[in-house]
Amino acid sequence: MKRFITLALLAIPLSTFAHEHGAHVHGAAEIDVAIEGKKLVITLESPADNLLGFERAPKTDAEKAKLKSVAEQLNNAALLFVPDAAAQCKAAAPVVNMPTFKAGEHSDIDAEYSFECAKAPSSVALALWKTFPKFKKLTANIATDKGQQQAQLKSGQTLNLK
Amino acid sequence: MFKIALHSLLSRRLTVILSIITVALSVLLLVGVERLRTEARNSFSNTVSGTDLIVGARTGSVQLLLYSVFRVGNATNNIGWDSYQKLAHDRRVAWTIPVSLGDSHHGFAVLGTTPDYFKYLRFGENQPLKMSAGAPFAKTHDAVLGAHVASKMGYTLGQKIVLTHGSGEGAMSEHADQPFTIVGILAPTGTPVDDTVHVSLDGLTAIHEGWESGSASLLSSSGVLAADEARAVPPPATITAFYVGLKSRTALFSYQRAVNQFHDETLMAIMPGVALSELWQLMKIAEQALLIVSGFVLVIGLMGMLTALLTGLNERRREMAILRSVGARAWQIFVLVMGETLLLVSIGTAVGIALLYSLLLICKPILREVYSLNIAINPPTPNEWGLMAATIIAGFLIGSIPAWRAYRMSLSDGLSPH
Repeated sequence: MKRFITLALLAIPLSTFAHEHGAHVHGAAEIDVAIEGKKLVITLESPADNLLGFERAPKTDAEKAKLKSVAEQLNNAALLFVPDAAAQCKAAAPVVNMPTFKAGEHSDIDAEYSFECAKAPSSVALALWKTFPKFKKLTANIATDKGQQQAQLKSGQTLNLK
Repeated sequence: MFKIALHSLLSRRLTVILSIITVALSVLLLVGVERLRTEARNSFSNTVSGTDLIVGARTGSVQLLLYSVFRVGNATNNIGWDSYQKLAHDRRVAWTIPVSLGDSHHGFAVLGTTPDYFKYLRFGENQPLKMSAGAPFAKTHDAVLGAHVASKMGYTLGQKIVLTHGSGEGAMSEHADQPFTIVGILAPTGTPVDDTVHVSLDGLTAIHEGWESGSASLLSSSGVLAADEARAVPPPATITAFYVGLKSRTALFSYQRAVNQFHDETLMAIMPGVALSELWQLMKIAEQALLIVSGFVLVIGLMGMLTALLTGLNERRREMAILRSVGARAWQIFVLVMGETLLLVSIGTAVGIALLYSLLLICKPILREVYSLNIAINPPTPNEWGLMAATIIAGFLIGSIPAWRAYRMSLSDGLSPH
């Protein structure tokens, strides 16, 4: 019993810490999807581990190369998000923030993708499942003309915006 | 043949009626659970419309949604007026509605806000609030009532009402020195707005002046403060939460992040639609459990009917044999028993649905009164039609068992009893 209380007390500062900094779960990530008229904006926020396989400053040449290639992949919207063809979307240049790797901390990568479309897309294929197979599930926060909702997506699923 | 079948049913009316009642009650439960689930969801989703974000003190997102919109539970913390001013003047923001809760009037929540509430708040399919009488508040001691508050209490325009400090359980602490005049009554919305007394933030500040210690001070009970309507009231120190409408939806997530990382105070911004999704996620297990239980009740009901039919069959050997002797084919016996079961299940389903609708009509005002849950009486949804179809298909499958037995028996049985 005593041990349990000590454990519980230990857990309190840890959990508040996690709360302050947002959840950080390896294998999972959050995307924010907003549609306003013909404009589609998707923000990806993910633990660096999902994309890189490590969360500290790169040490070996292989890790340095990996960091560079992931940055290149993230800068190509088509490797992550593909709006349905009927919407005829054109991707603008993504804004990618690579991690700064502070010692002893989890690292996150975030990136923003904007598209100008001929009409509001009804779905977005998630090419990122293939590009970054370490992603197992995504939480999508969606805001469109029809309202807001949250969707839980598993590997391979398509983002439905109807 | 049809006439004979009908008479046969009539002669067994007690078992037949009991079978119908069993099926009717199971269908009532099954479809009723589904109906309550969808109606509760609709009622909740209709309440938040057109609001991009809700900002409050940092708690769980579901909790913030529940207390700021549905008046369920209490705020853990308030927002400082300075923080609100800073965040409301962000260039991405189109409008804000500050909300201050805590007082009550005969059990109805009192909500302090600004005239923007009546301008920007939306419900249902993006519908604005409408006044059924009067106008939004203009002066410090003006009040605007929700439709249900006005109808339940029998209030009219111009009447004076007294607010109660706190939730109203400690009924001694009334703001009797500063009554409010009813200047407007809102049209019904089917949302918690109907159960709310709206006053200006100034009004709430005014009645709480000198209330620091939790009860009225001499100055405030002397009526001096109430007398001077034109007196400038200082802005409130805190508000409970505020609703935000943005100029562009694409700025939603960046503004949300800005609020969550706000330095002066730990705040959080939630997307009401997303918080509702989270709430449904939490409720899903309970809902599914309920649906499974009511599914089992239906199975038990059908089993009971099967038992009655099978027992009845033995007693009806003679009947079948006579039917055969006057020229009925064996397959006609099969159709007869099958048809009988299907008829019972169909009547049972219809009676169940009729019961459900009469129950909804009876319970509507009670649910409205006690749980503030608004149930619309709508025709069955596709899901509910599906449940009814499933019931009848199950009846079809179950009916084939006694029908098959009757078919076999009528082939082997003669006229004379064994």
